[in-house]
Amino acid sequence: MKNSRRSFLRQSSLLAAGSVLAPSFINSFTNRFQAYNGKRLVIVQLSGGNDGLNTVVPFRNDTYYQKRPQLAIKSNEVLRLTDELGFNPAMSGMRSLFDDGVLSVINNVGYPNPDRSHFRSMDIWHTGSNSDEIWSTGWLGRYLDASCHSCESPHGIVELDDNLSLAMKGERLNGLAMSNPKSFLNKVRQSRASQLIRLNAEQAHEETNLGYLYKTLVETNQSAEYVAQKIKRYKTSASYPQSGFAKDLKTIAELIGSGMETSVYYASLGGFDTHAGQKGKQARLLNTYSEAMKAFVDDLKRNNLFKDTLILTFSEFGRRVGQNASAGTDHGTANNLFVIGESVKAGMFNSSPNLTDLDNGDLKYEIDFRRVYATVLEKWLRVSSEASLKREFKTLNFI
Amino acid sequence: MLSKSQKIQHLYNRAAFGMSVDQFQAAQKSRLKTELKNLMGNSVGELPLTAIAENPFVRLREDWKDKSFDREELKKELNKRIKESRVKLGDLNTQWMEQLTNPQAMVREKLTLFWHDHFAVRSNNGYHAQIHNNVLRKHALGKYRDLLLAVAKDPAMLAFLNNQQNNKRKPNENFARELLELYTLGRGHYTEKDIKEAARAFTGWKFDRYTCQFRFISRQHDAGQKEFMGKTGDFDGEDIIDMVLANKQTAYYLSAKLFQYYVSDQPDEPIIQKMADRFYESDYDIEDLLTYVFSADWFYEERFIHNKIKSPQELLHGIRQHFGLSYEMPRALIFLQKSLGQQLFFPPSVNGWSVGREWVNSSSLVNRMRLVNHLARNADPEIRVKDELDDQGKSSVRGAQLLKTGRMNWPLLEAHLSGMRDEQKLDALIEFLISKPLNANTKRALLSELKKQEDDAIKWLAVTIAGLPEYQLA
Repeated sequence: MKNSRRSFLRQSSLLAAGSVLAPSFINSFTNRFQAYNGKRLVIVQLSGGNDGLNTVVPFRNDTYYQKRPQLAIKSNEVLRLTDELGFNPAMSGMRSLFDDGVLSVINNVGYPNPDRSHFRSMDIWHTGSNSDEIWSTGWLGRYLDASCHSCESPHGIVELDDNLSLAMKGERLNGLAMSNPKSFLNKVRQSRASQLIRLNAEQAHEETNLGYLYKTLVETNQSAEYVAQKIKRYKTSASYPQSGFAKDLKTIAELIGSGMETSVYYASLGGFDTHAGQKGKQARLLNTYSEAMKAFVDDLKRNNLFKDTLILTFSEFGRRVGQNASAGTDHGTANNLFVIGESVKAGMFNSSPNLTDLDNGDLKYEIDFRRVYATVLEKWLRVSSEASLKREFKTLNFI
Repeated sequence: MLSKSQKIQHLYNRAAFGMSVDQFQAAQKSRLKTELKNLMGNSVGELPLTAIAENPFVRLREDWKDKSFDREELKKELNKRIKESRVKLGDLNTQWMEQLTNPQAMVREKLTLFWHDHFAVRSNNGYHAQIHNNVLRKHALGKYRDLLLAVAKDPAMLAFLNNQQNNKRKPNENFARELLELYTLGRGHYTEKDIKEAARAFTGWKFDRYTCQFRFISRQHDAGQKEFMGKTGDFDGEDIIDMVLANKQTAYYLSAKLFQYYVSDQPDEPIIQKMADRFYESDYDIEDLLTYVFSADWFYEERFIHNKIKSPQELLHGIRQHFGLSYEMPRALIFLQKSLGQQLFFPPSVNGWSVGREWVNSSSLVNRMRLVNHLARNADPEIRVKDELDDQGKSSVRGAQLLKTGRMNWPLLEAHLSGMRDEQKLDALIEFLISKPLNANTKRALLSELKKQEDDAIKWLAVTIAGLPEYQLA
């Protein structure tokens, strides 16, 4: 059969129709992520530097109102959580999680000698390095390296994106990035992966760069096959808000429900760099975040998947205590962080930030973020945290 | 043994970003020596970037003197202008993208990209970014001392590594640390004390916000005795630079980095040592070192051919060269850089971009393999763009629109293959796009599929070859 015009770029097969993968590539044993122990960690990254003080509002603090004459949230609008602190009014979803006793709010999280550049501070959060160190692998990537010596499939960690973030890049192993399983499967199919693997079976074992490319292609194809098999089995009927972020959480819920052996999922919501006109912008973003989280937790609960899921939310830094001249806030330092799950010590984990003892107009951190990572690794994923963090950090008792 | 034309192609792949059809055809009748001479000769001159006309601070200076202006208003205006200059970074980006494959500048431009990665500076002020980039370009092929000194006095660098805040009373070590760790000696060849002392030597190195000129503020400079790498004296910044350049380790460190950029991801100690000797003895003459590398017999050894994983920039410019790809709306190129994870002027860290295998993981590999197919159809490659400062999704929607304005130069490629039988077409395209023979299985499969194509067979074949993992190497 001749291919007609217009179809020249059709993704035609390189082999006769009907050819399938070589059996060794669908061997289910090589598809296993051995480190999976039934516990799942979901990480949510708020990119751009979320203003923590207008997220968890110190509504009894005079300094807060003095330093933010236009930006401060009125005490009668705050969704009160304790006598001192309350959520931004856009966060009713998170408020109900707080009321349900599944949310722990950890204040004043940061690291020594904070860096106020987005990308540098984000790198520090992703790698777990000190602020004067530059590391090229991420804390979750090193978790993969350490916990899986014979893994060939990268689906132990799944990021909802098309470019893999540094946090999930290890020395030896990488996580899998896909903005959604269907498009990932299509892409792998379009790349003719399975045919190319058959045609180049020997190449994948070579130590050359070409061998590395084919080896990666084999792994990709295995992951695709694995995801395809799993995802067929489960679809959630729950309704989620319309946002792209909510769609990502819905995808995660479906991947969890399908029984994927994935220990860590990673999703991001961007736009928090509110230098100007912060109030409306941040409220809209926090609402997107909060509504999606509520829908996600409800969905997991309904399907009995919540008890083995822990959700951690962070941002690369908080913002300055005082507002700037454009009704916004500039880059700051320490920030609050949320942990959601049935096993968390719910409520306000520690005291509210001190707004008078500042470092150059910025909050001083009280808890090193790597202690949060260590806690999650040791007490939730149940692995040694030192391999992943390269140093020893004391765990906290929020789990 | 490589054929003469394979050698020329290898030279173009490494010294520049691969060959266009025209260059490939011309090379068939040329000699390696001539091509090298032309490539280097064409890069003697320099084409500075000009996209950003003025410093956002400049007009404000007059207003500031005039006391009748409201200070708060002026501050707001200043912020607005800085923001505008940040937007203009886009124009700067597209101007450079066009220039990177300009036949009159290719070697200098590819080397400027190397220095852009080496001195990985980010600047919110587009005008500073432009000055910085032009400094790199100006000294790209000159002496490393001149380059390093010019960079150390350049506003983008002084601001980025906080030397603006480096003064006698409270030294800031940021620049001194990167100078030793990333720009000269490399990790493990200095002490923390060396960093502290070097930082003191650079105190008072500032720039003027209005003129963007370097200024030495002597009252902020620590003129006292410093102990640096075993020597004692009242050293200033230039002395420190001279001392680290006198250390041969700097020549070695830079040679290893250049070897990786131009030759191979796998270090070859004896070769790097030879490069370092040459570099050191020539007083860090960069042009001399490159000419040495590109003329060396070892540069054309089989093991170095087609063995490097292309960075996204190399992939993109390679596609532009091979397929004559251009965009009516050049901002499409920015979208593609973001999609592939390497946007000019936005290095991910002070350490620069990834190298070699770090670019490849499951997700990036399939996206890269599908790329030419989608670009050839002006179709959305469906790669979500990570943009920490934008809301999710917005840039992707706009990007897909921009990609519709693309055009590939098919007549040129078709003319190149005209009159050939299928087997010859296949060989010619593999030679042009991959520069190394393909695995026999793949070739056989391609040929049998090619015979089934009716129209547009060449497009099908070219796009399919560019979709192979082999196309990810150069």
